[in-house]
Amino acid sequence: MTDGQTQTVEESLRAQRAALADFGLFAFQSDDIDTLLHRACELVSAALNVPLVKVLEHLPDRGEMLIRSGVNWEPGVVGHETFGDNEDSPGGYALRADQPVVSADLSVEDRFRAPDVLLRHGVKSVVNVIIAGEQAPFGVLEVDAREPRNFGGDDIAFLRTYANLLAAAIERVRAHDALRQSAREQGVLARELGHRVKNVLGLIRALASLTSAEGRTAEEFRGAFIDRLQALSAAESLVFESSDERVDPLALAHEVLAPYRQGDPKKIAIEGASVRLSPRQARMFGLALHELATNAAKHGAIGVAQGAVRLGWHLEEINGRRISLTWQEVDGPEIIPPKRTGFGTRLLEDVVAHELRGKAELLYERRGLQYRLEFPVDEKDDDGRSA
Amino acid sequence: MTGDLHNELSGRRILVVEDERLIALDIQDILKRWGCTVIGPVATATEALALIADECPDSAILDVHLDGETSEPIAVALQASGRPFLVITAYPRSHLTGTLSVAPLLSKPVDEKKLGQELSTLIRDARP
Repeated sequence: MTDGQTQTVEESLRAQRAALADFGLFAFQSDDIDTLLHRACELVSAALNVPLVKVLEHLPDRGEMLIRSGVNWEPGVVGHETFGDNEDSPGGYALRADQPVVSADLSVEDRFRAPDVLLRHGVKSVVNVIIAGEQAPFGVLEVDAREPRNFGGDDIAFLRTYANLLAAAIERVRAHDALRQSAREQGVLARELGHRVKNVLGLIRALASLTSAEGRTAEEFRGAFIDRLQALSAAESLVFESSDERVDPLALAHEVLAPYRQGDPKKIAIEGASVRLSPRQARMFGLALHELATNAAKHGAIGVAQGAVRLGWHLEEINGRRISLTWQEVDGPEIIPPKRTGFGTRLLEDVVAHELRGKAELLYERRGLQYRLEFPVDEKDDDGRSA
Repeated sequence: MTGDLHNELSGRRILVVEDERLIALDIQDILKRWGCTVIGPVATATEALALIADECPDSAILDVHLDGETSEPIAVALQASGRPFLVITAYPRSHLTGTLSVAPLLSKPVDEKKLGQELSTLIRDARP
């Protein structure tokens, strides 16, 4: 094909108008950027009777312009070849100038150099127009002719209209993609949340069911159950408040033990290393501290004036990082081991040890009750043990 | 109803596989009230498979997702030895695959009445 010359002005204007109409409809219906760009190149090539057309996408992070789409280029060019986004290339020059740039004869061009890929394809003249974008230009539409050609005002007006249509279509597709992506993410979040709610409901059911009604009035049962629910809620709240779903045990201890430290924080002295608990660990940590405190208030050191508790935890390096916690009651009343295993004892010894995959023991010592707990730091990022 | 369940389920050996310990103890206590002998509760497939071989449970209650694994191998072993089981999960049925997907399903949190009904139906139907 010999570029351009054989068309009359009337023929070429008619072809350009048809190309605009065709592309307008196509752009309205397409929802894929690459299909859109390729069709644009095909129609421009036909309308201007120039075989080589391409779209350069500006990649500002890389300081490059990528041949994102094009027609009649050698294999390996489209999607791969890049230019610097500076004034050295015709496309970069147009982008910087922010206006159409025509080079009627590359052999005498002194504003920029012709990139190798153009020379390889025998390109002698080029025209570039900007494809606008919402914040910054998407890139440029470049038409490359194999003979010197003085692209006129009509050609440039056509290409500008065309590039503007393309810009609007690209924005529309991008907005659609972003919406679709966001809808997908919301869907995943909603399902995950649904699953979590059911799991927490399961825990609440278990707390209600395992809280003994035996030997208790209805009011006492309600109090015991609601206090446990409160400890679980405190842990859940901290999980939701944190950005990475990790909970600081110090904040959790202060929250759960607050009712017992009112007026005298020294009643329970808290000293702990800075670690991060997984949601599952946090729940157990909160429930365990609540059981210890409520027991100490009824039968132990918190219930008497001179009694006190020292709560502390630190990190140990034994086969990976482990958290070692001690609850020590001092100056309390004489400790009598319970005759039967209630929920508190079951939770502190059995449930906590299983859930945290560690060791837990309650020691009814002469100087006061001691609870020792030791468990591995959860280095995983998920809370996905049970469903 | 509790009385009937007690008669039907009394003395039955039920394997419990559940990795959330509070929920496992909850199910264990429910089963004990019905007079069942609870095998477990355990939280891993390895432990469950050993108990199936050693303790000859009549039936089983399986949580689906255990830590980093599912109960599928347990379901396969139970089915192969002709033992009926039911599945308890916080996920919808559409999430289940394989042998787990053909068993009766109860949604978490567990409904005690439904659990009793499903379990006695399973055991009644399995009776030779």
